[in-house]
Amino acid sequence: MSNLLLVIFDLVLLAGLLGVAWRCLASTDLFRAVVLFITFGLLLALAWVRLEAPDIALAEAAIGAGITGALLLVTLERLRSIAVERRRGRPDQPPDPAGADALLHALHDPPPPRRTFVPALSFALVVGGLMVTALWHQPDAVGLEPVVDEHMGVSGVDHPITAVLLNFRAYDTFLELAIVLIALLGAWSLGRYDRLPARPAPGPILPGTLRLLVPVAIVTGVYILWAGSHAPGGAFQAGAILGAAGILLVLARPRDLPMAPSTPLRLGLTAGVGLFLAIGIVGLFIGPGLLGYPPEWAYPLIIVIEIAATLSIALTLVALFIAGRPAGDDH
Amino acid sequence: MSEAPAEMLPLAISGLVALSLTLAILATVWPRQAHRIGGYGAVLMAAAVVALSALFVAAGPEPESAATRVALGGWEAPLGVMLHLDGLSMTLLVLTGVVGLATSLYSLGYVHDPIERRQFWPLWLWLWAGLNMLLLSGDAFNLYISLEVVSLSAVALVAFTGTAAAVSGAMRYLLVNILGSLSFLMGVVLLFGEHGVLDLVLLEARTEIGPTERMAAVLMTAGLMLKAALFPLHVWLAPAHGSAPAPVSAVLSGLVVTGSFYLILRLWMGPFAPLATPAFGILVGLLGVAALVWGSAQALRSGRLKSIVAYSTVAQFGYLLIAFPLMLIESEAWKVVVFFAIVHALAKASVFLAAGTLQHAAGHDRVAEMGGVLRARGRTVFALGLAGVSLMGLPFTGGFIAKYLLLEAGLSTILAGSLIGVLWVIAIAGGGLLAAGYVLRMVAPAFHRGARDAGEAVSPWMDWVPLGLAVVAAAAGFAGTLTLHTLTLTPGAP
Amino acid sequence: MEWLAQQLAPGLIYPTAGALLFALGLYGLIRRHHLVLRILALNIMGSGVFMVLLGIAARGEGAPDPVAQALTLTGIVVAVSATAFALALVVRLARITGQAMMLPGPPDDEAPVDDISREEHAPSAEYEREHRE
Repeated sequence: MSNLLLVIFDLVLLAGLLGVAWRCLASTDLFRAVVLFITFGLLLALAWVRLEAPDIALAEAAIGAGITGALLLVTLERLRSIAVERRRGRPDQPPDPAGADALLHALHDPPPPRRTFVPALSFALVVGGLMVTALWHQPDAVGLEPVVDEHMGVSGVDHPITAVLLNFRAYDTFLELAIVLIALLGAWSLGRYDRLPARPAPGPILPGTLRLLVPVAIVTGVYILWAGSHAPGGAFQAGAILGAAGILLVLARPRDLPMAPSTPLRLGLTAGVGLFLAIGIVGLFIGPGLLGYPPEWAYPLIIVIEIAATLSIALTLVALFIAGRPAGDDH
Repeated sequence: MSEAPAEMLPLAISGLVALSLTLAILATVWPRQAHRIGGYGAVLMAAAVVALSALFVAAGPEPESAATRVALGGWEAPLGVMLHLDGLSMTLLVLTGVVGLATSLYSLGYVHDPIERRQFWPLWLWLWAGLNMLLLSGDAFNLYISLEVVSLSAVALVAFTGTAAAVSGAMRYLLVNILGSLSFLMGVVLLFGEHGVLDLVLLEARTEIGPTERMAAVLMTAGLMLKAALFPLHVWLAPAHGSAPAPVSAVLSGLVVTGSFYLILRLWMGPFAPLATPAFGILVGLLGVAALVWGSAQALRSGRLKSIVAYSTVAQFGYLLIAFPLMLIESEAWKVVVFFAIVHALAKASVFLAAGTLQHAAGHDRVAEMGGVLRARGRTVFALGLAGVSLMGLPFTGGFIAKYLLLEAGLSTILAGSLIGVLWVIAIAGGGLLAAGYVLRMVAPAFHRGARDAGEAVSPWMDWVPLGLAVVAAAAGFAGTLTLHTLTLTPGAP
Repeated sequence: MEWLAQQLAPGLIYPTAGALLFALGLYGLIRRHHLVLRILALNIMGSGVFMVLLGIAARGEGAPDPVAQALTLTGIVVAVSATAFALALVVRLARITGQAMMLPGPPDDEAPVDDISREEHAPSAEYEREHRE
């Protein structure tokens, strides 16, 4: 009976996910689409819990819904202010016909033409159908769980996912940190930082809340980082939570951001990859190979790398939210 | 006797990865010194690649011992990630080293502004590191991550000039790349669901033809074709490659596209090999003929120097598709294809670098108005022409040897009784004529009468590097034997 | 009823739903033109891939496959990085052209060339000017 209830739960949840995704991609109002997308992320986190993946659920809620949502919302705000500025720049000119009413376009997307409906839908259905066929033909459970289990004793940590991320497949994790950094370098190469399209919030509510929220976020982040060695959690979730706290701080004082000097800032941003690689190169010369640790040193080294990675991820996410490069970087 | 090199090889492979990552990180931390780190680092990296290839050739006389696999962190597959070096990846690593060195030296002159330099070098060094890692990876998921490193840094470099065309081209390039990566990743996930491993060698051992393999092959190949701009998924290429800064265009057309092609080849020679049927091969070959015709037509029509070169990439990659049916009949043909891709990459990179020098001198790249600059800058025009001749495949150049070998493979398929082989031979021969057409369009104004106008002064790097690379491309024919020998050291290859 | 419940195990229906999400994202990517919506579509496709992967990990009796979960975590972080960079590009494009859509068609033969190797491009000169004022 409980099995049946679970199946009903699954079906309702998946139907909800597909429905929300459909509404999101069908909406003409961008703000609505973004809000639906954030809802989609939270529902996904629920699905991950159901699939016994609490680590991923944490990450999805913090990164997939939280940070991505914040990035999307600030992008819409930026697009709106760009449209307003362009309109203000030429008040006496008629709207640019090539621009087809920039303000309208900034946050609206007209419904797509009917004629693409059938080809697009049939193409998507064919691709989806073929994948479903392939998936239904697959055998049950052929994963790597037994192999990981066998090596847990020498991994240095007690949580299998952390063991995979920071020991068995440390190379992937290293490159993942590098990708976060490259995304920031790319955003910085596009231009200098310009002001966030947000006003300082009037009244005591935001500062008061922040005074409460930021310490809580820091404690939560540190706890999740520490918990990662034996329970769900770890550097990425902790970094995302700290990054979210940083974004709130930025939003509270959008006009006078503290401008970190270039070198310390860049050192902080690269601490994760830098330390990871340095330890990895030492591993190459003392025996276990590139990005490997001697088993007796694995635990402390993993903790050191995770702390540095958390710091770098949090800083990078805040910097990606601000988007442009700080003026201090050009001196 | 070859005991010592074989033992050193794993260390050297890890060392190359570590070196390229260290350079990228150093340049990120100290952007003010980034051009020095990049300049000296490029020389160091090229030297490291040459040393690695010497070790490789010394260590692997028999094909069986040729694939060197390094367990990162000491964790063997299926638990860990393996680096994988064989004849195929070694030759392409050397190519990356040569083109990377040339591009770096050229960029020393090209990117001169102190602020832009700080943005350019870290991204370029990450791109180079990403390419090295892509070529050395032996793990399906790790390939996805390496592809992302390459594509994100490449997109950022395309947007570098900041014009509407460049940013729009970069945006399209990014969307295409993300779509391609996701498609590739979905294929990886399907394979993982069927076999429970990610390592390519283990996957190959377990492959049998089933719905999963078919769908994974479609998804991964389509994703990589998007990234490699193989016909008919090529529309993004010209806007992105044509509007990027010259050294970036050179790397994109020479290396990034070749990297995706390498991966297609590796997958179809490995896990997907049983799926390649003659009918499928003919379909791919027809796409190649279409790419050749369409790309050449666009190149002959386009009014801008860099657009001509960008479209010619679409055309030249048509050959690689035409080679696919040849490979199914004439099993040696794949080596010829790789050799052709290498010569193309060298020639294309030097053409783009030369075009960048001319554009710098003239201040624009509208072919019709470039006569004065072309007449005054003989050295660069010579580089453009020499590399162009290699693209056309005239005798005594690397391109000639590559095309000759390709034709030979085509003719032997006709002898093997395949009538469609006639079409391939016509396409290979006719493509050379079309290439001659657009190469002449680029260099012909230099021979017209008219005023000379050297235009803006050019740094010595920008003056000499295209010529050097063009000479390397032309001389690559002499390295043909060595390349083909190195390629035989690929396990599983016939 | 019990039989049906056994057939609809999470190891089957979650991968199926993931494949459908992937297809839905693909459909949205083809149909919609605003760049933010296209980025959302790509993100939904990515979520579909992750759902297939986690669904596969949950197959069978024992504990879920930690490797698949670790790969998903990596994938989520890569996705957010790519999204952040893509959004920065969208804002940049909107600032230059006033639109958050892609410029249609092939490159324009008449468009001006901005060559970063030339003096007039130098942003540091611009920067000096700004700060002298």
